[in-house]
Amino acid sequence: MEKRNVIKPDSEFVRDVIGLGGESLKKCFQCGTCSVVCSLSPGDKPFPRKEMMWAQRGLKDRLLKDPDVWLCHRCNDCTAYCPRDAKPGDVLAAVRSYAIMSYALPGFLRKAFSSPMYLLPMLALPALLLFAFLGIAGDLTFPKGAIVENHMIPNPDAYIGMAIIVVFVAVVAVVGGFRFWKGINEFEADPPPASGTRIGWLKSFAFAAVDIFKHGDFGKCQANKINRLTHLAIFYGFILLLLAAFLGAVYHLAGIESPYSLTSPIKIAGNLGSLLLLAGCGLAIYRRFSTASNNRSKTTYFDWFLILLLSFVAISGVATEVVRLAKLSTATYSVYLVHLWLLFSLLIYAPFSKGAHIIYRTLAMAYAKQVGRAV
Amino acid sequence: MGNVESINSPNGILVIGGGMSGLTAAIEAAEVGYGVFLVEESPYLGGRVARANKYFPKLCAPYCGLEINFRRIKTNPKIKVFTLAQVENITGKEGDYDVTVKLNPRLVNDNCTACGKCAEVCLVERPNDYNFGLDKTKAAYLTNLMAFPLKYVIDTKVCLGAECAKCVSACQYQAIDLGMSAESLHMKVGSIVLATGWKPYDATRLDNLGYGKYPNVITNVIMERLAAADGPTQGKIVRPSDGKEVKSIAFVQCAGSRDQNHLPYCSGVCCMGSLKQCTYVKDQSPETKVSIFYIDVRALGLLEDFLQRVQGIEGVTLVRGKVAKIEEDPATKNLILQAEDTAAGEKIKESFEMVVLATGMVPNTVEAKIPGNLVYDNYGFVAADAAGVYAAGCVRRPTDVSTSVQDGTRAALKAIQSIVRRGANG
Repeated sequence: MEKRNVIKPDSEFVRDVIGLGGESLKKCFQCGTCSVVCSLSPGDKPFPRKEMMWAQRGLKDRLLKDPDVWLCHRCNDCTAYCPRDAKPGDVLAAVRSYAIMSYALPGFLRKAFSSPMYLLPMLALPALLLFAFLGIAGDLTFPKGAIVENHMIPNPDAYIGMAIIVVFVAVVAVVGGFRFWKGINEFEADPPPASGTRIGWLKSFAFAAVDIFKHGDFGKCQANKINRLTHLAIFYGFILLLLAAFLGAVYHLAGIESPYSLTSPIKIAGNLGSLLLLAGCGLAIYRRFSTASNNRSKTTYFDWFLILLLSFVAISGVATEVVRLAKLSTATYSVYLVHLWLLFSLLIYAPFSKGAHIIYRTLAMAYAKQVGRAV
Repeated sequence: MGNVESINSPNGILVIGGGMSGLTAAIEAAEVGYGVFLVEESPYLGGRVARANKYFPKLCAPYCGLEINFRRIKTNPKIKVFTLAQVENITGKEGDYDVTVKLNPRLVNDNCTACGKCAEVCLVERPNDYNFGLDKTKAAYLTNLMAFPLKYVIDTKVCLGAECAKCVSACQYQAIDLGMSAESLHMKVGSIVLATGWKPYDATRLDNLGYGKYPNVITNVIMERLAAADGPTQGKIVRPSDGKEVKSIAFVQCAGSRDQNHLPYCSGVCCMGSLKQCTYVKDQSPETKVSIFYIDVRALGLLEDFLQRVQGIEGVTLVRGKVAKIEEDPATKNLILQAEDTAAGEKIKESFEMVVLATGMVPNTVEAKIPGNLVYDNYGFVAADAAGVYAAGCVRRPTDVSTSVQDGTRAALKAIQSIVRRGANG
């Protein structure tokens, strides 16, 4: 039988994308300027023109299974040249927000990100969990004697707490990633095969990783060059902080107890990471308030949630160190508690927030390399 | 400023602009019996129509229309034409306007027979603005072969003046007077027609399309001059960079039009303009490859037929996708165009020997608004007439030649009504 293409428009989806910052999507008149000026868009089935059409038509399924949405780095070359001010950069960002919320489980957390009115309960939840945990693990009082943050939580319990968080985040991330990977491969047979040559998946992930570490795709942006610097700072800041956390565990297992001297590798990694993270967040916030004409994109609640949470994690981390060095015992533990709360929030919400792009973008970039779609 | 002349004609009509709309308004009003003063800034009448190669869709030469109008002016004593004239000030109200007009010196008087001796001996050259600078004329020049009035003009900006005066001795009709200076003309008129026309959008502002950077990227108005028999290449469509006959050419529609960053509106004539220019190319060289890149082809009403005719020409391809990047191959000076063929869903990267940008129309009222109560829209077009002042042609909205003619007639009627109504009332 002849294959028929039946379009099933989902108007609810269109409204959701509009609500997530894609309010300009209906202005698009499909001229294709965006696809041409985008340095990241491949020659065959380029984006974002087709995504704009799909979004207008409410083709939710097609967009959720579209790797190209994730190849976009929102440098806004498209938005700068768009003759209709349809802001493809913003629309694709809105579609990505929608995709993150669709892939992440459980669903009620997904809904929590849809509006700032859920912010208070969202922040209260990790605070309550933290208090409960501290109550079970200790006695809810600040330790006496020399100021050592780690003393707030007895060690085996700290590891158990950490393990619970890591397992939770990993499960949500893996499930989301798996669903996305299945989706993009489902549609592979539908569009004509890409012009490039196929490579193996291991190789493709390696190439994608190299790209990510170099931020090569960001480097191709014209309209928003500061993006690369911003993201590099946040990215490497984050990696250094992960390294510091890892070293913390290693030191501890090796019996070397904190506090560590400022010249020890763990402290250098931690402090440098914090500074980079702060600088990156600062740039990200500054860019959003600067009025350069090429920077006309909208920052949504979804964006602010991650940027501000990251910023406050970095600030509270640095503040803890400062008050500790000033030998203010109660202040140190109080600020550290806030830091733990924010960090805890950041981690458990990562797979539901903009932070989840780490999974989906990496997968999409690897997929693009695999089928030869990468530019 | 030299002499001051005065005209008192309370039942007269001032027409500002001698292009198609203004010409029509002036002639129609005069033929009804009203005194008309036609003021034109350039040395010739016919405006941008005179500079076109052919009209669409009939593909006849503009002079077949202009000639008839010039003849109507010549035989009608009611029309007084002032070329090289600029309106400096307008005061007063409906039925009683005081207008100051500056008459710039032509340096050539009515004795001129257009024999061309002055240009032969003239030592100075100037870029020919009539042909968008593609060639040069002498300081003493005739704007075009069919110029009306058929008189030479001397460019005061480059003329060496009395020290040189070679033209003065060469002219056997004593037609040259290098001592002429600007004059001021005061007139009292009853109503005014504003028909100051348009200019093409400044294509150098389209930074991704390379106009002004790459010599073989031209605009649609330049293409008209290239194709015109009295143009800089005697009608041969050749590349500006090397004079080579063009074997492949692309038309880029909506170059700056329907674009929030440039002109948000559609000029309505550029699609037909490019389709028409396709026929120029194909008539000269049937084997030349022609591509038109468009968002939507706007060939409305009966013009659909013209679109279908051009689509049927072998070697003409219409691609649905806006050209968003043009780069030059420095070795060949060919242009590499990039667009998304939105029907096929793939990017096109194709090389052409020449590219024509279909730029839109900007009303001259953006820069030069006249005093009074006219209402302008966001883009500078006249949105509503004021009592006594009536707009015609492309100052009202972007439009084609035949609509401009109708518009001129409309404005003439309005201007006459204004005068008649006042007579009846008072």
